[in-house]
Amino acid sequence: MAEMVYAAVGTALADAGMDRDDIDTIVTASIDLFDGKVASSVSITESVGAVMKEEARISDDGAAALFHAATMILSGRKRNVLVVAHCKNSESDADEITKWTFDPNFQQPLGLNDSQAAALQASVWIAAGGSEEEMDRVAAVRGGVAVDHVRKSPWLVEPLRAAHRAPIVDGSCAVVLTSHDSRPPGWGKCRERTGVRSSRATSHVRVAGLGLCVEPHYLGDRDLVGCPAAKKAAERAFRMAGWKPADVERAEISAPFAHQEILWAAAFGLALDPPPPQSSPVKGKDKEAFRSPLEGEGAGGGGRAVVNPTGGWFAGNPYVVSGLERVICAVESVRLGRAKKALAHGCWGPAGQGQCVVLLEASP
Amino acid sequence: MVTRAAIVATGQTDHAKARDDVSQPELIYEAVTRALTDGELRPADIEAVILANMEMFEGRMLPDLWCAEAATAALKPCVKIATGGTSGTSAVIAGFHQVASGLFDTVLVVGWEKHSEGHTQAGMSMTDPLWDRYVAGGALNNFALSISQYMRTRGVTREAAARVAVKARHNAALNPHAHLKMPDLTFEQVMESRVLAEPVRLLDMCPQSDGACAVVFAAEGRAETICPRPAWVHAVATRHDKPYLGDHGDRLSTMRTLRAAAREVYQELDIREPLKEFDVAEIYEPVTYAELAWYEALGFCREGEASRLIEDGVTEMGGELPVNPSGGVLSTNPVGASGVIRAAEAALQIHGKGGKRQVPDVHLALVTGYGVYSWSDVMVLGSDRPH
Repeated sequence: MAEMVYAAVGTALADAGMDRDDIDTIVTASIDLFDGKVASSVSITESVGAVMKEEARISDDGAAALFHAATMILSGRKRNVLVVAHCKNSESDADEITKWTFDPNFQQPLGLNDSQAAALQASVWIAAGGSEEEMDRVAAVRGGVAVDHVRKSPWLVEPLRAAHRAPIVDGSCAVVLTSHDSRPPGWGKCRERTGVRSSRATSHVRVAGLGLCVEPHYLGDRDLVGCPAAKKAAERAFRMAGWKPADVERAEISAPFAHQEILWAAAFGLALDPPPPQSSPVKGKDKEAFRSPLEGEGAGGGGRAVVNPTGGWFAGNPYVVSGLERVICAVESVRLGRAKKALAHGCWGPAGQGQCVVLLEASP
Repeated sequence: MVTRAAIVATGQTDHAKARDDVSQPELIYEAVTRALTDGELRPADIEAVILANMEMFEGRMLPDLWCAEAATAALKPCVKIATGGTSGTSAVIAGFHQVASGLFDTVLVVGWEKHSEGHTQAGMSMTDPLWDRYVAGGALNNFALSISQYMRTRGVTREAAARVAVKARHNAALNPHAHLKMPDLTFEQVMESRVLAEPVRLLDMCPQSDGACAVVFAAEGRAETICPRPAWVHAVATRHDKPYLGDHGDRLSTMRTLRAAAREVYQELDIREPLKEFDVAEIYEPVTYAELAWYEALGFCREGEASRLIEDGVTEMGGELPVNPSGGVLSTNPVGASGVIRAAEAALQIHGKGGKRQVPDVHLALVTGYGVYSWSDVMVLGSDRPH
């Protein structure tokens, strides 16, 4: 794990044109039970350069760690924060470990795990008019496989098949978040802006908005289709940024299960109408050729966002790391000029109980 | 800092070896309700929540999700901090940052642990599988090693440590929330208590407790409307260090993380004589000998003079700098809550709500957190609004 993190941190620092001495403080994200360790971040203190430095550790998704890093910069106490997420899912069995997320009195005795919670969510969604075909297409496109392959893959938990689930892998990623001096309009109460720094002076990317929200715990208490936490997180981020959902040109959404991408894109208010053509071709692994089922003809125009052109979680992000990885993908899309405004999203817990939205835009 | 922040309300459970009468969310609810009552606040007044807990001790996964509602966090921003023993102080520092960032006006920080539902020693042994897991798993064994070294280099005696144990448990008797209240504990009883790991005896060591503690941070402007005498955050500092026990051969005698963090805040606040300038200290002492070592690292005395401080009663109630009027970690230790309790107890002293454990006229209070082998947090709270 320490070696994996070391590689990610080195890459981020090189990209920022910084070394460890430039970093004021470090925020990491990891989850003990996935890694099979107590205080899993202990093993990466040296890898992230936190020896005799300030370090905080969030035990949720990496996007929430970025949120925390932003509060440190906005407080005026810190200028350069290294944000690192890591998870070694291969140390555990996700479907066994996630059983321990559910309250031990009422839900855990049912044997619920993340897959089952997601399947219940998918069932409610389908009953409410969700389309299984659409779910199959998302899984096919993001996973780079044919729709037929999805439909013929074995059941995970009905109505989800194995191919509806993103692969579970090991990994780490890192971001350098820095403060800037000027104060843009629409920043609300914030006195400083934050940005993901790049060594290329022309390609700074600014964090324009942040939103974080958790839902109640009991599945029966939750609106699994309306996704109020995703809505609230996005609303807060849009308010902070002074954007409308239709401003988003690229969205990097964390969806470990295919139907969740559709649910959360809707919760964020990303344009879904008119519905995508049912006969869109799927060209093997050529994701760029068929970027999103949510995308109509004339990609990205007319208030329609391109969603997960990278493949999203299906490209193989570990738990915990996915949210921060989505931020990196969104930053890349802005840097490469594919979008001026991008949305990145992280989630954690059963059926996405925890939600975090980060809005990114090109910095002048 | 952009926005000044203060602790305006505190609440904690009645800590005990096993709180069989409540679940983890109910334990949290007890502390949160008391904090909200203390500040005359409603759940809707809380804008964001930070939780602290070490999930491996209860074997739960993402317990913040199960417990969020009990902490008023449903449909609010909520994250969990988990940095071993410093989880509580790190969460408090995170709560401070959330308010100081200007993003939120009121933030609730809740730490909890329910050791009775898990196996603490097993949890603590889940360290690095290649190296540490086989040598000194758990707090007791690694402290026994470090204490032996500390006694040898600094001449610290078992007698001095025993006096720390007596002070802690006597103070705890003044604290209605404390787990180990032992008003009649004698020096001899500590000296004669059974050896757990040489030289650490039973009464030298902290207990494992079930408990939760909550504090409410508020931004300037809001803070004064909630609390007539807010406990303002004057400075915070954190230091982490290398991950392996073998990296810390001289841990207690140098404690470089605590030294560096304390030096940072002392410089920021121009504190030159901490023993005189602080009115009270709530420090995270998991074992009696650690309290003595922390005296030196925090600059309360010169190196090698920690025994004198305890023997002369300088750190007792009524002394020049009362240390841990609450009874400290030695009397109450729900790990995820212990750091929050330190901040809550220090704030309580500034609020003037300490009851029998109140130190008169507290203006400036020191808070520390300790975790893993040698991670340190330091926070200074004061009655005056910082410049």
